[in-house]
Amino acid sequence: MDVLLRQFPRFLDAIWLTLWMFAVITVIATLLGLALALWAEGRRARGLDLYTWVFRGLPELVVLLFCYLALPYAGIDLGSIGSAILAFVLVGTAFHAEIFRASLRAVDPRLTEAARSLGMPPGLRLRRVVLPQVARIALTPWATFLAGNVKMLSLASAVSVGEVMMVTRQSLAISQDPLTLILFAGAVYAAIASLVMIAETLIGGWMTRRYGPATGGT
Amino acid sequence: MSGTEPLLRVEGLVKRLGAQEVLKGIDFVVHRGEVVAIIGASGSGKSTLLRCLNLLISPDNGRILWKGREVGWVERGGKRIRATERELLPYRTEIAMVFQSFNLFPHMTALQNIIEAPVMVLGRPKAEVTAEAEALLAKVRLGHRKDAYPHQMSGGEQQRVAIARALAMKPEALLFDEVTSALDPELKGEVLAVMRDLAAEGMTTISVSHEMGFVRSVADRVIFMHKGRVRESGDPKTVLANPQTPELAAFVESVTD
Ligand SMILES: Nc1ncnc2c1ncn2[C@@H]1O[C@H](COP(=O)(O)OP(=O)(O)OP(=O)(O)O)[C@@H](O)[C@H]1O
Ligand SMILES: [Mg+2]
Repeated sequence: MDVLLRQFPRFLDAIWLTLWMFAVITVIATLLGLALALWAEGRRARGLDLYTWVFRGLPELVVLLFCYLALPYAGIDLGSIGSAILAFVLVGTAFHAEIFRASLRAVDPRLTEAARSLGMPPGLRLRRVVLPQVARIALTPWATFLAGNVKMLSLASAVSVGEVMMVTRQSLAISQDPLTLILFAGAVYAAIASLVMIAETLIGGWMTRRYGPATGGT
Repeated sequence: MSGTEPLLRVEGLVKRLGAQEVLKGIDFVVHRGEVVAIIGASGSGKSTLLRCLNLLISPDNGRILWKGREVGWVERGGKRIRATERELLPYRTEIAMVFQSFNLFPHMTALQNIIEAPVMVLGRPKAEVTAEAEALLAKVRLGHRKDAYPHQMSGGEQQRVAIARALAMKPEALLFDEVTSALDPELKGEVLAVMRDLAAEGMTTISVSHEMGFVRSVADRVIFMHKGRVRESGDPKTVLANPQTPELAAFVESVTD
């Protein structure tokens, strides 16, 4: 217990780092995933298929070690935090791209047809009609991926990123009471994941009350 | 009816979908102010014809002339080529469509659904369009529902909003594709009443409809389609009372209400 107390300032920094990395990775990977999904729409996007297949299949740890240990040989040394962000963006983008592709396909084509019949050009249709439906359809799979992804961030300790798991492991080395430390670390990840899930439930519930069921409609 | 050139002229329209030739050469004209009803058995190509008229799908052959000018094609570098989606948009705003399944935007209120295209496509001032939209909602007897979302409205209400949405573009003709057939009998009446009002105001409409009462009493002309062709057409009272073909006789028999 006293190790936890003594290390508390370091834990606070680590929690902040974890949250910050999670936010950066999520924003970049979501935007890239959406952009790739839009680009791939109505195309035979073999390159994207290959990319999402590889990065959804590889273990996160392998991608992480590759970015941290192998890229420097190619002259790209991003440091530990940079490598971790790149690795999780590579993996996250693959998942987000597939989530958004599936969501785009699930948008009722009759809405697009109605928009076309009203003379709406493609860009306007996408922005005003299609993307609002995608947001609703994608919300649950997107948040589910993110809740799982928070926990994966603990792997970044393997490339010496000073996030929560890293500080926990260092504290364990000087502690008589490993259980408290392990439970504390677990609680931190579970709390962040829970925030994601609670936000998803609240937003999803609000949208259903306001706009009705996500895909059915008319 | 009036003028020399009809509002819409369709010549030899052919459309293939997959391996099937769904439209096998359709010809007809529609004059300004006319109410035309299209009838025919399921699968005879009625929806396909309407979607071609609005160029939601492009015909494989034949011509569509709108106010005397062919639509769907452009002249570029001395060559006649198909118009792009963007080039078709102005035409689509002049000939609006209402669908069997309403197709309102579910994330917008009734009022927002109606003002969306006039504001975002035509670039008209929002305040002015909103005032018109409120008048249109009153006209379809939904003044009290302007802030309702589609999922909060009955099918009949949604369909009347969809008609108001089409009218807000101030189109010169309206296409109705079985707009009452997804509705319960007691809700059909309220939508048909709106369609009667439009006809009385002189709006040009082309309606696919199986409401024979409406066809007989409101339409100026009926077109009977069978297997991708116009089989019979003319004054609805005459045509429906004396079918000249066994197909129309069988159809009239099947829909007698
Ligand atoms: N996308 C498509 N691909 C292939 N065939 C199609 C397609 N859409 C429609 N068809 C076929 O074209 C024919 C005409 O369809 P259409 O929807 O125009 O008929 P309809 O007269 O409107 O019928 P209904 O009264 O059932 O609405 C049908 O045989 C249908 O199976
Ligand atoms: Mg049809």
